[in-house]
Amino acid sequence: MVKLTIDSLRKNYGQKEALKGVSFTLSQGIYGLLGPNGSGKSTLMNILTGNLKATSGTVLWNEQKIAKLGKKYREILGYVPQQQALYPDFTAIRFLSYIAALQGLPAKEAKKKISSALAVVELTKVANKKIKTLSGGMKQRLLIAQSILAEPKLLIMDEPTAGLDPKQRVLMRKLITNLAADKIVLLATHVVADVEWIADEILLLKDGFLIRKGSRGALVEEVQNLHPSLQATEKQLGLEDVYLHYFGEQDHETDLL
Amino acid sequence: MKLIYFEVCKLFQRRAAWSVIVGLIFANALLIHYQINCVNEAGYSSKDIAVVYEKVKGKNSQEQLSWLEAEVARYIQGVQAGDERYTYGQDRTLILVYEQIAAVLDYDHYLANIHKQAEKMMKSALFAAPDTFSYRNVVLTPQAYAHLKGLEVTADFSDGVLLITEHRLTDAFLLLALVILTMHLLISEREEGTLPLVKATKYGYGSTIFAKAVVLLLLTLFLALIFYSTNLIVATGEVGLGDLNRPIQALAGYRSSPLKITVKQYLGLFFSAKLLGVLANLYIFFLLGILCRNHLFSCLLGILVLGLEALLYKNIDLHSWLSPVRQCNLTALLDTGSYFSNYNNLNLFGYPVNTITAGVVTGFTAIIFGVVMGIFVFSKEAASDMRRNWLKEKLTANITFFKGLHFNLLRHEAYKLLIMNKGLLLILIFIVSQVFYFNGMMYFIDQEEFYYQNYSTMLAGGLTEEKNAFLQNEQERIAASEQERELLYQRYENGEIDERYLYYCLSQLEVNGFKKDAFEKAQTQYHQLIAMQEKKQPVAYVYQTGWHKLFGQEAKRLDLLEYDNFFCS
Repeated sequence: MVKLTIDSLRKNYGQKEALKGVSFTLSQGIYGLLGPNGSGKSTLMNILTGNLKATSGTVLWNEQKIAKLGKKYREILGYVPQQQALYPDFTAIRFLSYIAALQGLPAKEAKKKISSALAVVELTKVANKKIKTLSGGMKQRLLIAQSILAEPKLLIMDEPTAGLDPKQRVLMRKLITNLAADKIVLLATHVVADVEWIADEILLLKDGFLIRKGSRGALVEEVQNLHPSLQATEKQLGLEDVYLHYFGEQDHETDLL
Repeated sequence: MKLIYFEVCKLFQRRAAWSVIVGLIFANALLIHYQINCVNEAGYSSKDIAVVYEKVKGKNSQEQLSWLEAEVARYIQGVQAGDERYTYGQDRTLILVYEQIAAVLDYDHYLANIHKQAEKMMKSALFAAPDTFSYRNVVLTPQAYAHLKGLEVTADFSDGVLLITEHRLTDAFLLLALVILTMHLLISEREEGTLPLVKATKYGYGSTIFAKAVVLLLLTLFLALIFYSTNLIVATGEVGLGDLNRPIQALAGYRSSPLKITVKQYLGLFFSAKLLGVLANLYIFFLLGILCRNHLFSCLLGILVLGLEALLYKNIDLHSWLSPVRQCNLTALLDTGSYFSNYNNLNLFGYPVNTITAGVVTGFTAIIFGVVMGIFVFSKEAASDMRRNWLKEKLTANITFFKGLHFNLLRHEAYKLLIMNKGLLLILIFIVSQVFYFNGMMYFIDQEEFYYQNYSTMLAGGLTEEKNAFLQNEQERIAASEQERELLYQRYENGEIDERYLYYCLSQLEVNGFKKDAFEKAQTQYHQLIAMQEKKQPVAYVYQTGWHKLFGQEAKRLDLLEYDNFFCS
């Protein structure tokens, strides 16, 4: 059983507070981290991947501080960054070989895992093509392939569907669902549809605070209870309505109706 | 090993950078070729010197000197007789070679003189106090040369070797190439956003930066080999290197070397020392690149550090109590030839420490410091762009030109060109390389120029009757002197006087050939001004050499070189 605990996490950029004491615990499953731009999602993701240092607070992996675990933590970590920043002149296979080397996979094992990762993201046919010749969707799938190469226990995905067309978004969601078998998958996005049907739990982040954490059903019900007039309407409420309730700036009831 | 391989692969993606580096290699070869064939202000080139050495090859030193003496006399006669086969500069080449051979022949005497000089100095009140650096240094100096007693130094052509070892632009190009690659190795990944991906992996910290440091070492070796091999090939092909088994003391400017090594060994040691110096500089830049996290700021800081070091190196005396700051210095390490050409001690709290020892210690310390601190900082820092860059914040806070919302196209274009496309960085690099190149340059004037300068001082300004009278008198004086010279030659041809007496009398003449030429130049210029004044044009006499240097034919030739230098930079 794996567990990721975030306790009173704060991050300041000079005078600006990006995270204001965020705490939550995750165990196996898919988690959707929702919030508008500037809510602190990427800051949280960067702290979890070790790319940014928190001002205060702790991140524990199975009750051990990730800073102390160092390599051991990064060994079980898979990361899909927000930017599609890759090495354009590398072929897909060379890029994955590089990540395998960075993850310390032995050559034989790396070969097998690269083939399998390419198959999972359906990029086997373009394995020997240069990254610069791949489409945006292919690049995104390649980023996912690199993140699962070392069979991580914690998969952090920062806006994995950004810039993709609707068809590719659907494919991406299926892919993420298939990958999540024995892992914690934390998926940050501001696109509600990306996590609505695949996430076990949703975390709502607003202005550096974690304002809600719960299943889709529970969050929808909560919003319905807060707005009794909505129960009389025939419209089925969804996560988008929850999002608008918490993050919309206009009259919530008007929006929801 | 795998990570090293991938770091190299990543660098090979940077095609623009490699094209610049290939350009620099070609530019270096071209400049060496140019330097070999370039005629200096004394009227000869390295190739001319090589030709003279080729002519005296196979003769013993005494025979060489006699042959050269005879040749010099023949050339001087030819020049004075106006024979066009004897051009300006040929005699000076012969004299230079004569002096080089004579200096080598005189080596035993030179060594003995070091001992005598030391004894004399120790008797002087300035050096007599035993607890001072001066005394200790004077005691050590003769000892350092003692093992050279009886060393057989043979003269041969030096310029070939010196072209390899003392071509400053090779150092500048090599450093520039390595700085470009270091920036790509460290900063481009961060600026392009791939670093967070790398750092989220198991070996994304210590191992990655260690691999980068190793790649830098391999690249330095590779590029230094290419640049210096180019120098070696061009110099060997065009003028040759002379006898490589002769002692280093046979090289022009290296007579004071206390090392008992051959020229061949010197070339090997020079390359090792150069590598040490370049690596020391580079690993400090490596550390700055990690600290600054940005191309522009790491370069600015690099220029600042190197500039400060150069300032200390140039301005502090070797024997002052500040000399450790002068010698334990990054720019001192790049001046590789100075470690081999002379016996020098720095003043470490009153105790003499050899500059070679100081250089080796400084070099290795800088390398270890740069690598260890670089790895430490990289391993401890966060990769995210969101981390505050205090240096960038401080600097941009004070640059008002680009700040705020503005709608001036010039500002936007300037920002795109200078900041976004790193134009400012290129300009800075260009300025630094220019300063680096021209720093040690001295302008020598010959006798003719000296006289022309004096005439120009007298004639400067408007045209006056006094100046006309002065020119008239001077012309008469020169004509009288010319008559006297012709008379002397006649007497010599008639056998009335011998050659030695002829030369003695010629040297006593008030007006020599240089003065006559300078006068004719000034007079022609003055007469042209008179003609212009008659056409009612405003005129004034000025000393023209400076203007010619800027806008004349010679300047155009230099300009071409400078443009080449600029584009390669």
